[in-house]
Formats: sequence, C-alpha cells, structure tokens
Amino acid sequence: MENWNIPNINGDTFRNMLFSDRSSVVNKNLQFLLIYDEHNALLGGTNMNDLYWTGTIWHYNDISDFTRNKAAITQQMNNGICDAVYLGHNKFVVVEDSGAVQITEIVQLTNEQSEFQFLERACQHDDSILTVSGFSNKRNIVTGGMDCCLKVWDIEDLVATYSYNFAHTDIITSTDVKPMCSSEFISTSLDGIFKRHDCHLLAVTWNTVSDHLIAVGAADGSIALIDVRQTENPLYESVEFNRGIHKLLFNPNPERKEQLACCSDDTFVKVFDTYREMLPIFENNSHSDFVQGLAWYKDDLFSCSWDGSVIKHVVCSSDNNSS
Amino acid sequence: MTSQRSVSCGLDFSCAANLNECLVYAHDSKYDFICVPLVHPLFKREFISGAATNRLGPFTRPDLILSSSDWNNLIIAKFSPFINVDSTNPIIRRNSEETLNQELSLASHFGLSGVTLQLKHGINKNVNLARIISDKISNNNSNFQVWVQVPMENPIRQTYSYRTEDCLVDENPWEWWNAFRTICDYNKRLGIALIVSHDVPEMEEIDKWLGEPVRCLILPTTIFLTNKKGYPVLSKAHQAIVKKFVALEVQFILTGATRYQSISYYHNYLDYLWKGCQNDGTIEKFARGYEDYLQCPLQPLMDNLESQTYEIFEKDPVKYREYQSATYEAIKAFISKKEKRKIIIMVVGAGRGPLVTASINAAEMANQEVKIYAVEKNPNAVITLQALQRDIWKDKVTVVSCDMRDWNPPEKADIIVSELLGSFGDNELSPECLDNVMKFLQDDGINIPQSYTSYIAPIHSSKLYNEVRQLRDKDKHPLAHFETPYVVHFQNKYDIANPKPLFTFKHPNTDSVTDNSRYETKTFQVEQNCVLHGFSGYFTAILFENITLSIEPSTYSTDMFSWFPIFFPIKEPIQLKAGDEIVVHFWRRCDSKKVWYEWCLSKPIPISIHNSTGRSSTIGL
Repeated sequence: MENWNIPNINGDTFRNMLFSDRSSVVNKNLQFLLIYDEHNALLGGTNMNDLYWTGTIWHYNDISDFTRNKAAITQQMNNGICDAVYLGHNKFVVVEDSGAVQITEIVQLTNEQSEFQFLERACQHDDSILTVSGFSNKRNIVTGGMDCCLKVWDIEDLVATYSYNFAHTDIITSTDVKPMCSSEFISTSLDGIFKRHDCHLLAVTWNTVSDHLIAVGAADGSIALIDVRQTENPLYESVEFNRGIHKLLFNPNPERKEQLACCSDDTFVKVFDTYREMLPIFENNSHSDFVQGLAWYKDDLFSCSWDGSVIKHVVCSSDNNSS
Repeated sequence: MTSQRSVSCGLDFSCAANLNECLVYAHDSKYDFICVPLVHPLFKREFISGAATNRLGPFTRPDLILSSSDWNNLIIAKFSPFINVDSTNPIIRRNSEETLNQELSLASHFGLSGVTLQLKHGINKNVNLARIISDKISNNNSNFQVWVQVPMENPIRQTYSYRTEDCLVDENPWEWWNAFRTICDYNKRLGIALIVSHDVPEMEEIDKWLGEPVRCLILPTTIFLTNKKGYPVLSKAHQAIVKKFVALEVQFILTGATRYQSISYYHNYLDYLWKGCQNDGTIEKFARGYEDYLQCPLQPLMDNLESQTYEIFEKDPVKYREYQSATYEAIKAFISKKEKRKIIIMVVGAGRGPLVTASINAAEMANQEVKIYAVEKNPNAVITLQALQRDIWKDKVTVVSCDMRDWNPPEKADIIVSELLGSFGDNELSPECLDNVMKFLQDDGINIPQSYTSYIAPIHSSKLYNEVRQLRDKDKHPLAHFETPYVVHFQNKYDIANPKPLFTFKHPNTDSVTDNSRYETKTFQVEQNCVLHGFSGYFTAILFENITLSIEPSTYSTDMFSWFPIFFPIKEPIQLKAGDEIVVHFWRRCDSKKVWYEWCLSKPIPISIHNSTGRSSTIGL
C-alpha cells in the first residue's frame, strides 16, 4: 500500500519525486556532427522535450559506428548545446543556448579511457548562441545568436576581440568563415538583410576552395549561390526544398569542391553540383525527423537528425552520377 | 502610504534548461518573476506534411513541474523565435500559425498572467500577428496580458553602421506599436514592454511613450556602466528615462548576460534608483489611487455637496491662503480710497465657511472693520455656518440660508467673494451665478475672483481613450460617454502641444447685454507623429490683481489639490503626423435651464460635433 501514489495529488508526487531517480532520457534531438578524422568525431544533442533542456556531447574515436553506446566519451551538459567547432584533434569549442562559449579538451586517461576537460568558459552573449565557426588560424572563432550580435573571439584567453551588437536586426542563424583567412566571415539572419530577398535566411557555407563562392539558404527552401565579390545578383538561385534550409556544407575535398550538401526542416538530405546549376546528384529521405547536422568525411556525407540517428551516405562524384 | 514600495523586476532567461533552478536563482537574487520560453526555442514543429508531423511524445515540459500559483505569479512566456505568421510563403505561415497557437494555448493552460513578444518590423509584416493576438485576447478563454516588446530605437541604424550600404528605411518603432495596437483595437490586455536602448532618443520622443500603456521597461545588461566601486549603475540619461516611468508604476525586466559577480547587483541598484525616484509631494499623496480615473464633474448648483466633500476641499493648503491674501489686498484697496466705515463683504456660496474665516482674518490683518454676509443654498451646510457664527464669528457675520440668485440683500456689498470655479473655470456656472449677484455689488465693488480663463491642450493617451470607451451606458446615446467631460488626474498621457487659453470671464460683468455663451477656435502644431485622443482642460483665475490660482501646468499653484484637470474625449483616435495642424472648435452654449459644451475638429480631418445640443452632458442651472 505504501508505495501507491495517491491519485489526486499527482502534481505533488511528481514535484517531490527525486529527479535523480528518473530513468535517463534518450537524447534524441541531435544538433550537430563534426568529423575531424577517422578517430575523432563529435556528436551533440539537446533534450528539447524533456523536463530539462540539457545537452549531451559524445566523442567517438571510430566513425564507423555512431551508436550512442559506442561513444568513447559521453558528457552530460547543464545547458542545451547548439553548435561546435574543432580547434584541433583533441580540442573543440561548443556554444550553448545559455549564451556560453565553452572550450573543451579531450584528455586520454588510459588506453581505453578518456574524458572531457572543460577549459575556458565565457558567457558574453546576451541570448542563446546558435552558431560558431573557426578561422583557419585555429585561434579565432566567430559566434552569433539570438541576441543579434556577432562576436569574434581569441580563444587563447577566450576574449571577444570584436563585438558587433545588432550586426543584424533579427536572430543570427548561421556563420561561416572564408577559407585560409583569419578575418573574413559571413553571417545569415532572419532579418534577410544581405539579399533583396524578403525572407528569413537560415544557413550559409563558404566554399573551401573557391574562396569567392558561398551558398545561402532561406526559409522558403531556396538556395542561392553568390559570388562574394559582387553580391547584387546571385550566380544561381532556386527553390530546392519544401521547408526552410537548415544547413549547407560544401565538400572540403578540393576535387569535389562543387558538391553542396543540404538539409532542411524535413527529412531530406540532398547534394547538388553547384557548378552545374544545382544539378541534384544525391538525395536521401531515410531520416524520420528533421535533419540538423551534416559532416563530410572523405567522400562520404554523414547526417544527424532529431530522430536520434546518424546516417552515412555514399555520394558518388558528379561525373559518375551524370555519366 | 508610509513604507516605500520596492521595485518589481523580472529576470529574462534565454533558454531555462532547468525551470526550477532558474526560479530559485532568480528568487535568491531578489527578482520577482522570470521570462522563459514555454517550448524550447529551437524546437520547430511541423503541422502540414512529412514524417515530422507524426512525432511521438510531448513537445515540451508538463504543467506539473510547477504549482499553478507559481505558473501564474512567476512566469512570463516568450514565444519561439522562428514564428513568422506574416510570411508570404503559405507553408511557413501555416506552420507558424499552428506553432503560435500551440504556445498561446499552452500559456492559457498554464494560467500565466503574461506573455511577451517582440515587434521587429512595421505593421506590413505584422498584420496577421496582430489579428492572432487580438483574437486570443478578445475572447475570454485566456486571462493573460500581452506585453509587446518594442525597442526605443530602431536597431537597424546600428546594423547599417557596420555596412557600406546606406540604411534606407529607419522607421520609428513607435510606429510599429501604434499600428499594431490600432489593428488590435486598443485592446486593454495589450501593454508595452519598452526595450531601453543603448542610445537614448530625444526626450520629446520618450515623452510620447508616457501616453502609451507601458507596463514594463526592459533593461539590457549592456546599457549598465560600472561605478568607481565596481557595481553596475545607469548613466544619467538612462536614469532620467527610469524616473519618467516611475509614475506609471512600471515593472522591469533585466535581460542579457551578467557582467558582475552576481546578478543581484543589478536588482540592488534598480531598487535603490526606484526608491529614490518616488514622488511623494502633496498632490501625489492626495491623488494616489486616482491616477487616470475618470470622475464626473461635480454639479454643486444642482446637487448639494456632502460633508465629506467639503472636508476634503477645505484641506487644500493653498487655495484659502490665496483667497485670504486677495481679500486682504482688496480691503486695503478700499481703505486707501474710502472714508472710514465698515466694509461689506458677501461670501456667496459660503459652504461650511472657509472663505468667511479667510475674510475675517484678512480684515484683522488690515485692521479694518467688516460686516460679512455668508450666503449658502445648501441647508445642511447652513447648519454648520450657523454653529460657527454663534460660537466663533459672532456678530461680524450674518448667515443667509438662500440661493444667491434669489437673495434680496438689505445693502450693497463692497467685496463679493465666491469659490464657484470648476476644473475648467466656468464649468460649475460661476458666470451665471455671479451675474445674478452683480446687482448688489457697489459700483466700485470688487469681485473675488476678478476673472478666470479656461485652457485646452490636445493629448495622446491610449489609457484615457480606453477608460472612456468602457463607460458605455446602454440607457444613453451610444456615444454619450465620448461626449462628456471628465475630471481626471492625468498620469499616462503625452501632451501633444502646450495649453492655449480658451474662454475668459470677467467680474463684475459690465457688458450692456450679458452673454455667457462662447465660441473659440484654437490651432495647435503637431511636433511628432502621435495620436489625438482628446483634450485636457485647465483654468487660471485672477483672484485680485496679481493674486492668482492656476491648474494650468506652466503656472500651476504649487501643492494646490482642489482641482484635477478636465478631459474632453473624442469619439475616434486621430492619427497625427509631425507638421499637422489640429484645429479645434469649442462652444459654451446656454439656455434658460442649462449650460453645455460642444466641440469638434476641422483639421487635420473634420470630426463631427460632440455633444450637439447638449444631448449627452449638460450642467443644470
């Protein structure tokens, strides 16, 4: 009898419950996937529907299997996490919806065991940070978020060296940096400034080889290819998705620099040939919820989703595909 | 009101990963409530098609994590940032509408007292949002207030400061709000959470917000400076803004990352600032609780005042002092030119006798014998006069229980003293009363007051517009409540232009034909875009020579509380542009039984006659 809950005080019972006794929640809402090399990958997610909107970061030393229990390190975070960038094979920056920037190191304890060591942490954004990008010098990063502010950081002592308050008039959704450059970057915002487009802009990526080419994705599902030297008219623009573009990522392989991977607020993952008027060269619809993160490794594309899964896609070169 | 009220300040959380911890943190730092999203801000939902429409499980936290009183008292909800119900893309619009409705419904379910959303655009991108919000707060399924966040300054100016292109549009965010609330038909549950900007706009622009329903000031932590001791403080300019809004009883929300050891430092400073700004002057104390409260003007001619009413007005520290001085000066004016004899003073409308005592004092100061008649029509007040006469005033005073208009005095007066003025000067029919007693004033007699002038000024006050609107009486003409002047202690208003004199009456009136009807046209220049909701009315009076009483703001008799101003509403708010001219026409009309005002506009747009033929409000003779 004494273990019975009294039916009409469910609320009190619930609130008085020791939350530490709760069975752990499967963190389904995967937000980003980063692959440094075959032995270093990071997966991040935030519980968006549970009692606590906390994040988890998984470190993998083998990219062949992203099953959660195969992770070398599983770290619960106190806040939700939104994006991350590698600073080296064992060091990365993660940005939180609390507005904090956290530098973390992967420390090898024994042959089998490793753990995260939290280094510097700074909370200088006035709202959630949604995006982070790292310059090629591995010393500066740029962050942006819901406070409409862009900050360029020196990660040596984690100080914001430049702050652009109200860089945009609405939420900053995405940033990317110019390859092999330590100062130029690009940002997108719901304010839609930057293009004549009267539309929320959600995603941006800078081509890793052709340093004048960027791709910008908008809430109406359109993708624009833009030459940063003349932004008045896009090189090409077309609606490729039925939902807002969530993430865009050029293939870093110089031989396949024309490949642009995209996902939107639905279940599709697509790759386009940006040198051939966005010719579709790959499409996959096997996720069962929004696809949020994309990562290239060699010529494979990986995607993570709010369905909790990570899928590896084999993308043939566009030549093969078209022949 | 002995103890000082503390500041009411909330704390804004970007995400609130653990809601209970956030509440404890805010409470420990002395904040009164928190602003949090009800659904994770990045959790986009799909309502139209695709696999994501079939997501299993809850989309957010359950109500059980807090008791319903905590939801009600401590939580202000923020909406998901990606909602764009005015998108031209039908898919985005529909998903946004469903998302917003889901969150609004959740706010109702939780029993929240407030939700907040931010305007980032002009009305061309917010009409559908306004409709949805209006829809939600017009029905009775929910009780929450909607705090519309509006920045003081358009951030686009700063945004373009980083760019090479020029900023083409720079709309004042007040325009965003003005259009939004107009679409929402001035719903009373719509308030403003004004985001205090880093750069302080012109004071004139800030004053305009004082005519709006500002419930809350949002203070970003970035606007704080560090003082010598290392604590956060506001600049002089920002302090000035806070001070202006203290009278409106605003709350605060602190937002942004803390730059100090403890977030409580900000609260400590705000509480200190708040307490230092409390205005506890005579009038503020007297008027507390009556701010923007509409009262029907007294009609002492038709109705007899109650003892309590006399008692309140007798407490005025200024009025009777000035009357006494005026009577003293008037007596002295007689002494210089008259053979030595008793001066006859008649106090008409003596009430419970304050002016009788003032006259006796004045005579004593001037060392002059006087004979005083105290004429009063209210038989109940006459009892008081008779008691005072028997035991205090003795034979200096003769009490006459009679309406002054019907009295037949045994002799003529040298000085007639009266206090028949209303908030608008002549609106308690002082001219009509005094014309009737002129016949028993000596040819060189003095009337105190000698003259009075009413003043009007155009005002912007959504609060008063709403207050008037809800006074609709189904037994009266449907517009009667908009055609009635009200006595009101103004608080939540912006003065569009300074008052101008309207009607003047002089006593004794020596015109060959007495005509107390008036017609005047006044023109006002509009300095900045705003809305006309009606006219404030004031008066000044010359008691004798340079002794005056005034409730007109530029010449206000300090600490005098006997009169609140008057308010003449108009039926429909009128949108004004900087440079517009307001041309208003005012009539004072009379017949044998009553007096009434009529008013209308000819510019910037014609507006029909209000209170035509006195159909809605009159003052009985």
